[in-house]
Amino acid sequence: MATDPASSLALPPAPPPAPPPARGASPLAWLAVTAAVVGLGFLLRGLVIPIALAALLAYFLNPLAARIQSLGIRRTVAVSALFAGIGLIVVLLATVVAPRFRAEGAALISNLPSLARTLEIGIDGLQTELARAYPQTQRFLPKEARHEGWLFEFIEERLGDASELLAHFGLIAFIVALTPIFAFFFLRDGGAIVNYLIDRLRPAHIETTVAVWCEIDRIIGRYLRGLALDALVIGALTTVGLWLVGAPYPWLLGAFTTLVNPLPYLGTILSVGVAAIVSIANGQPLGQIGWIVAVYVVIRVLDDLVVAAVTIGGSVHMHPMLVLVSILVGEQTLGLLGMVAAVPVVTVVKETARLLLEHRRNLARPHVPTAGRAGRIPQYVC
Amino acid sequence: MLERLPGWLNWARDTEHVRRVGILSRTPVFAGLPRRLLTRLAVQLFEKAYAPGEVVFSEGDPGKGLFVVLDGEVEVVRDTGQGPQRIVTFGPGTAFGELALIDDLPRSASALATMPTRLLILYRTHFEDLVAGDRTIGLVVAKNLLRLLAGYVRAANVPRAKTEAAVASAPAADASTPPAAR
Repeated sequence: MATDPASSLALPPAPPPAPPPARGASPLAWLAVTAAVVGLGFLLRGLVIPIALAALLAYFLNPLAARIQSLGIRRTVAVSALFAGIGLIVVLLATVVAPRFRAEGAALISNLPSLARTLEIGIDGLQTELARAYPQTQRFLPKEARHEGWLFEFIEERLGDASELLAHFGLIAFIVALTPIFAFFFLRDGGAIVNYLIDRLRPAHIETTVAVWCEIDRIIGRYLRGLALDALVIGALTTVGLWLVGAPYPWLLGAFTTLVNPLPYLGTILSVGVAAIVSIANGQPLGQIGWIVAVYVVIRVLDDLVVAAVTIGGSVHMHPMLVLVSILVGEQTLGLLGMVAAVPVVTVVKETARLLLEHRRNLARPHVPTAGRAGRIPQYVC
Repeated sequence: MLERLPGWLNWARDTEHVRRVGILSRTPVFAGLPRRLLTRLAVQLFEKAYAPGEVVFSEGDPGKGLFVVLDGEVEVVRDTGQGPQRIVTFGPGTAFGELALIDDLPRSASALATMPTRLLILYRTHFEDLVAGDRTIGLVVAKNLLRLLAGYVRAANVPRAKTEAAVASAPAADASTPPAAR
């Protein structure tokens, strides 16, 4: 137990502490471990995608696993229970939601030629009108008349043919099967690995090093989990809203909104644009399109004022120019996926750099020793 | 909590977690916290082993977390200008560095392990997350911290009062001497 602080002044000066024995791993060992990890990564490069997805999934699920574990349950049992629960939800969703997606997807594929034809007629008519009203725009428009079905051919070309999709199906199935398995082990053993690494760190700097990591983890974790939750809520609200106003393909459009919602500014424009185009191609009246736009406006306002404030909070900010540049770079690198991932990735990098710089500044602050203050020696306080 | 469940569920019970909760419940900073909150607190703790003589933190380091002694012993020392002076020693079940849960200021003393020691570390960020999730934690811990601080202030004032009493009874010329010069 702690000795009485009041008696501490009577204690003789303690001898200077003996130098601690070297317990941490040497730099050479760290180098060897890093080289081994890089080598292993190269050998297993085919597994990079499922491992990365599994790590992300484990990161998202960690607070839930910790909550279950806090009931006094062993980590393995807590993670197993969590995965069983998630499996149940997936089965439920597959039973309830998947048929609707399948039905809408099948309808969209079978209607695609006629939808494309409707759009084609609209675009060609618009071009003719434009060329008649403003002849100077003719040099920006196609010179030759396009043949019937050009838009459908263009879409098919962009999507790729069926055999290519089938070739990708094997890879997708491989990723879908491996990701939960890796995620299970990451989630189960992640805490133990972190504790092991902490135990290897040099004791003198452990407090500040891990504290900085905790702060980064808190801000980034809150942001990423909030972003995912926000996208899911907004996608669900969009599905309900579009279904209420009788828009076509509400489930597919809701899913598309979920996917592009993390894109600041562009996400809403893309969602409204795609919904309006699909609605026009389906031959819906202009009033209906007005309702669809209204649904998106209301959800956008709700997102900004309530949903995002609750899920993400106001701790992470990015300059609009940085947002646009990161989206453009993401698009150039990985297409639509790159656009969606760009802002979260840049935010994570920016926040990490900010916190590390802040930490450096704090360390550079001059320290005033307490013992020198006018002879008033406070008792033990740290 | 799981400790109330029947014996056949023993295989699912995390005995180390239950032990940690027990230690936390006996720690003055967390005294009075309901068990359900202590269990949430316990999963947020990092564990680290220290060899004899290893520094836990040094005077002047930014204070970031609270330490709970699981096993072993930790000595807190302060550099008085004439060498390090031992202030207090902590054994199993005690906590130190609690002021780091309140402010960002540097550590006012150094702590080092005097024997093979295992410590649990609670970082301020995790503590703040818990407080944000349940205000009861904040209220109870704040009350306990105030109690501890009051104890420190009283302990610090006893020798000061004695000194002042001695000064008051001394000749007038001595009383005019500034305290720092005495």
